[in-house]
Amino acid sequence: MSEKQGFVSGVSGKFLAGALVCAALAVAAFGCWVYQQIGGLGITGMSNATSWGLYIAAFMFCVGLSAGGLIVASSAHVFKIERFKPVALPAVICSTVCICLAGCFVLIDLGGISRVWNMFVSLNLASPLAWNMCVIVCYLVINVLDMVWMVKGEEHKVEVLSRVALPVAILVHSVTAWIFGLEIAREGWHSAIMAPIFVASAMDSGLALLLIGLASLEKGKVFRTSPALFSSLAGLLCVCIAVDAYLIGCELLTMAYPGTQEGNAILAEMLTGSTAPFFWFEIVGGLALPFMMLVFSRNRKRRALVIGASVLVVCGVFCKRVWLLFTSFVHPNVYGGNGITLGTKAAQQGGEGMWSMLGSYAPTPFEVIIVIGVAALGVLAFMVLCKALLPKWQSGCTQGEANDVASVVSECDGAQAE
Amino acid sequence: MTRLAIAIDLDHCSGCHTCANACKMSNNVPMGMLWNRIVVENADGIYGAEGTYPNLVRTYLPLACQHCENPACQKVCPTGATYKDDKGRVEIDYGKCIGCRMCMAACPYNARVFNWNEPVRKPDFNYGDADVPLREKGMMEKCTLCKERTDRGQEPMCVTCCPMKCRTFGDLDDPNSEIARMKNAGSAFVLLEDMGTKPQVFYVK
Amino acid sequence: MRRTSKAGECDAAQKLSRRGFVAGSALGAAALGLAGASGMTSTTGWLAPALANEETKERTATIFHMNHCEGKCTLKCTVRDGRLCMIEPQEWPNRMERTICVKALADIERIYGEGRVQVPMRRIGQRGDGAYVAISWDEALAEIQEKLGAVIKTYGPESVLLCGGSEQLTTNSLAVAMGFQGITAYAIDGNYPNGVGPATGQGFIEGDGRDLVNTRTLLNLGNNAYETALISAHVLNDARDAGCYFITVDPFLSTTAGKSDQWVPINPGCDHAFLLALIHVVVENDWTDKTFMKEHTAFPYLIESETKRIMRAEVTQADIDAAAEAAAEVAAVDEFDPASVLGKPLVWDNSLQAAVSYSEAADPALEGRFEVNGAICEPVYTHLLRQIEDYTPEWAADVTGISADTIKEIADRFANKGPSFIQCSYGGADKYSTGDIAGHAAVVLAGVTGNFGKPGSGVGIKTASSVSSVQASLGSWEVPEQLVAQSNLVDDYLLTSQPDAENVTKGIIYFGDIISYVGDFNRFKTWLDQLDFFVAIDPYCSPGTGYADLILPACTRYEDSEDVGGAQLTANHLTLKQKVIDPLFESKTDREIERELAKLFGVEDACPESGAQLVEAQFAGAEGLEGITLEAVQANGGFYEVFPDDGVPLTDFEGGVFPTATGRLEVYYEELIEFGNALPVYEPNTEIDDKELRAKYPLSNAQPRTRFHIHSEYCDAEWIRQYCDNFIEMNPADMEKRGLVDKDKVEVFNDRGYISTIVHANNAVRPGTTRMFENPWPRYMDGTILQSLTSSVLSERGSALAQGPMIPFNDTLVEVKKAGE
Repeated sequence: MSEKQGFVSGVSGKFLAGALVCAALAVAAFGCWVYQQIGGLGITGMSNATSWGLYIAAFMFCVGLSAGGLIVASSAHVFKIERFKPVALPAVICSTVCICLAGCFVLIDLGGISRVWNMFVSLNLASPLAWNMCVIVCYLVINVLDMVWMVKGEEHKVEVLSRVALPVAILVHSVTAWIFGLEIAREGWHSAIMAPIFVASAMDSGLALLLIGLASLEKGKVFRTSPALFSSLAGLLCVCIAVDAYLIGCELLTMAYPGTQEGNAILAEMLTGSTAPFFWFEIVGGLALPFMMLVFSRNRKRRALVIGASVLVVCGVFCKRVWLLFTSFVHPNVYGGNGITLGTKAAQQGGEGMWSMLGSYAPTPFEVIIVIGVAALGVLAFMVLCKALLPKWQSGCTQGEANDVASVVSECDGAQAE
Repeated sequence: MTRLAIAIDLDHCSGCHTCANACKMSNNVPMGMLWNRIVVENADGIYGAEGTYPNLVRTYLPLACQHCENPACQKVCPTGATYKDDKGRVEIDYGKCIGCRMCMAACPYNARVFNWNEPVRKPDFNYGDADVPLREKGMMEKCTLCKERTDRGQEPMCVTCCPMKCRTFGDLDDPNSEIARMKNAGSAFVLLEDMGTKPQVFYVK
Repeated sequence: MRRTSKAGECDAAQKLSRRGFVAGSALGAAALGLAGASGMTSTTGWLAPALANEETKERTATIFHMNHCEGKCTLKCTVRDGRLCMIEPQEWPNRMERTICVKALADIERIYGEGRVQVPMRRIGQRGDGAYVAISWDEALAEIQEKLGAVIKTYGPESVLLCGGSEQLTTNSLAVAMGFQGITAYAIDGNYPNGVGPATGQGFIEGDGRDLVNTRTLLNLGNNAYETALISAHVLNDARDAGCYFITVDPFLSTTAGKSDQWVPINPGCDHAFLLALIHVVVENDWTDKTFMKEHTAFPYLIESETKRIMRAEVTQADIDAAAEAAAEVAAVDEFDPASVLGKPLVWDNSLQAAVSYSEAADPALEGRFEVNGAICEPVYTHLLRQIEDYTPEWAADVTGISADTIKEIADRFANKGPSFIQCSYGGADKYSTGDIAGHAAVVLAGVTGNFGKPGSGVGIKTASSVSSVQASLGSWEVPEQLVAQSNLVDDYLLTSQPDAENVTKGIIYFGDIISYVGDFNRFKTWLDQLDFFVAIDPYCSPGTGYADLILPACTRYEDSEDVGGAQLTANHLTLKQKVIDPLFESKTDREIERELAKLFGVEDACPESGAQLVEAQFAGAEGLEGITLEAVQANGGFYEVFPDDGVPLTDFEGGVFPTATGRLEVYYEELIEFGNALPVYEPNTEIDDKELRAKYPLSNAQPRTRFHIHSEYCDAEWIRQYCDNFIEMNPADMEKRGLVDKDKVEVFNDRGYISTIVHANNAVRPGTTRMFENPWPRYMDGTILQSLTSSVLSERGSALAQGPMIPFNDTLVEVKKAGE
């Protein structure tokens, strides 16, 4: 092993530049959000026919992305996968940031944020959104505690917490899935397999993001990950992709086989209709291609290839969120003229422009800026947290530099034991 | 118990849209949305029909909140803004609505409309029943079964105005009511029965 | 080359006037003075202060709605903070009489909408350019006095046309006092009545809808009551519930066709061919009612073979006396000319073997060939049998596109599963030049099958209006006798289709819209252009106002300056037009405007000075309303039951007695002998059956009514446009041939002109046709006007018929192409 794992000291100009760009994007997004509070959600591309848009897609996506980190970190402790431990903290940071972003997107999507206090005084426990709020809050608390205890080096607490963290992580994805999967009104969502699919796609996209994050930390000279661990995580990613693909296959077959009118309409929309580009990108670029790239152990050692595959997986899962969300908005259950009243700005102008037979959606520039800005805020938070926390953690658990994973781990353990 | 409902005779409905405007007026519904609309089934517009000339069928389906016994919208509402009231109506407590649109995704009938923007009214004042609460941007709204009118013992405005008198309003739990009799007649059916939402509003063919 | 012309945009002028208004500039200063007096500024301006008013004070008032659609709904209006905020049906004891439709509800927006004429306006550009400036009422009246005065002085009062419109609440007193032209017959909706009237003695047969429950077979020809008679079409539901078999014959799957037991798709404009074939099948199979024909119709009348005229007995003094008596009932006695009285028609009495007058025959012959007084003659029925021979179902199948079997089935059902009723008029054949033949054929079919005079039978329309008010009537305002000038009546068709041909009009005062119902608009516009002076009076910037020299703002029905502005009898109730709100903007009621104009020419006393005076006149001339006072009606909220509703349906022509000279169904039209139409014969339509023209313009365009408009009314209402905007419809197959897709912008054109609009794909539209609901406003069609496509070729037969020739709105060929290609 020629490369060295561990902390790299020093603040680069690139880091500052990156942070500034991210901050600027976040400020722009905040401006747009303020505008949205003034004008209403009408500045988005949503309507009464397609009542959720890019924000909710981004919410689903971020919840999923947060999976990889916590699962890796927790597995390290729960299943005693010691080789994962060296990346536990960056993994948890990544997870924390992503779940915060997910929370942001839900809040941004609310039309009546000024009345959001009703979530505390008048919570309806039957609502999956209520479950979601509870579980996300739990998840966030766990992440933060994990982070704090890791930095403080309180390994035992981390270990105990990890036993709780893993089931909560599974739950967070399941509950997110249930927001959709329990809706009988939408043919494409209403499926028992929705929760396992969300867990699977959370695992693959989360792991992929972690790999990208670790690689960028190394590039930014913040944190170095050993090649062995990197390819090991890549192997895990490959397995997750396979599981995800398998579950999606099950779902598609179950939808297609009976040949119901509703099922056919959804399938047609996905295979050849408006959401087809996203569907096919997910199948080819998000599942098949990365799997083929990572299934050979030789390839998993090539960092560029692993990063390429990871990027594909992340994009693929994003596409999946898009087709999953929007395909079910296209065909109303009761179809006929003049359709649905849209309620949009254009609809308020009167005339027949207020109607639509089918659901359609395209994000407006405001939405795109807000989503990019929030994502930039996440990148910024990740950068800052890593910069701030990793040195402390690193110095706390590893003295000097080690030549291979095993030695780092044993040294770390040794330090803890003392 | 009371289960207020509307029965709609589709054979008598001429798709005239009077009920849609009556509802809009009485409930101060702003521009760009309707609580009550008339769907011409499987046609491309309200003057279209299903099929190819001359083998055509046209069915009018007046569509608004179905006031389900098992309302999908009510279950998913995180704040309880959507609730089933003691008269069996599905209502919205606007002050509790956080605008998350869970209910909108949950409703199989696309019966709900959302104030995506500041409501625009033409004419530019609050028309309709004086007791109807105002809705702001970011609030969900839908047919209330004319809560304010029915609380006063009046019929919903769509029932009052229907020129064909194809709407019957009443209490399904009152065995002597006209609507209960219609419900038990063979031709009564509910919309999307397989969704299990058990609409109280029903149709007669 | 096709001509182009664009309609005026009076709303553009509004913007100009509003700016002047709000700014309070020199331009608007005079207007502002008035506005201040009545508390009005612009739409937004006058709404603002009341918005801040938290207090809600509500009151209700009663009015009656449009006369125009014959619905005459009685409405209860709720006013809060001085604004109309709710319109409901008035609370009739009979639930079915509580009527309102989608249009009246749209008034909530429409009366406050951008389309209102707010202030008097003067034209500053060319006619039709739409450039106007706001002026004061005083300036407007002064201008009318000057310009109209000049026209009267130069060309005489008969050169001025005053039209009260069909929706306005004018008394027509001004025209009567000044000797202005008035309009008698309108060139729309009268072709069925033209064909039906001579036989039944009544052109528009608006029967009691409740009678339809007695009908077993309802043959509906092109009428679309479920669409056009929203508040009375429930009688069709009642009929269907009672087991009536409902057949609709229409080229389109109209709303009514969609509700029928059987829809018979037919080629446009050939209802008459279909009916002739039905008659053929009926007589061929002898499914006739000979007793009815002998006792109640003209079928036994002897027709002289050479002259084709009815053979008649000598005129007796009894005939003259009877005719004089009949004339006295309907018109002034001094107009009666004894020389015009005809002898009684002769029939051949089989028992006497001689020709006797119809009233004396014991056993009249329906068939045969006889010699009477040296002339060869045959009964009408024999003529019919001969004429009808060629109209086989197979022939009709070719013309109509309906299979021969279907025709035979329908004939069988109509004749043998009666009582049968033919619902026609207000649509369909009315808008073709051959509509009168269809009307004539309809009465012949009903006549030979005995479908008259018994419950559930007849020809006409059962969904027009409430008829129980026949038990009483209201009077009307009468111009004081000393102020009545010479009457100068003109037929509408001369104005609306061939204005340039023969009339002397130089000035027009028009309440309402002058241009929506003309044939060949570009021809009409040339005539409009040569007028000396044209004043339009309208609450809305309707298409016609854009051509006026002066536009005056009229009130809608909801506005009045007085507590009461009129009364109406609807079914068994008396309804007042109460004041709902004060006049909006600077508008005045039609009543006030009429009197203001009369005042200019010194005849103001010809007009009622107040709404109360008008209503008093209506009460004073009332019949069957003894003991009911205005105070009593007012005290009851402006709504009063005048006699109980007995619920018993009336039968048309009960007992087979018709209001004709003979009391019989006069199926033989002597006045049409010169046209060869004494009995109905097939004739192709002028334009749509012209094969040569069809090669160039292969689509026939129809302009039926939609539930969302009353003719051109409501095209601009926001609460209407949300359901139905302005567009042309085509069958998707025809669109594909032309490379068109749904919502494409298109140009529709023929040799007369073109329009610019949006195309909607609709599979309910018959291939080979286009459909455009009457009557879209130019502002939604890039300034183009639907009637610039319409044919203005009139049927020569028309002038021999009671309603005159009709504009053949649907006898129009067009082609459609993508805009800009």
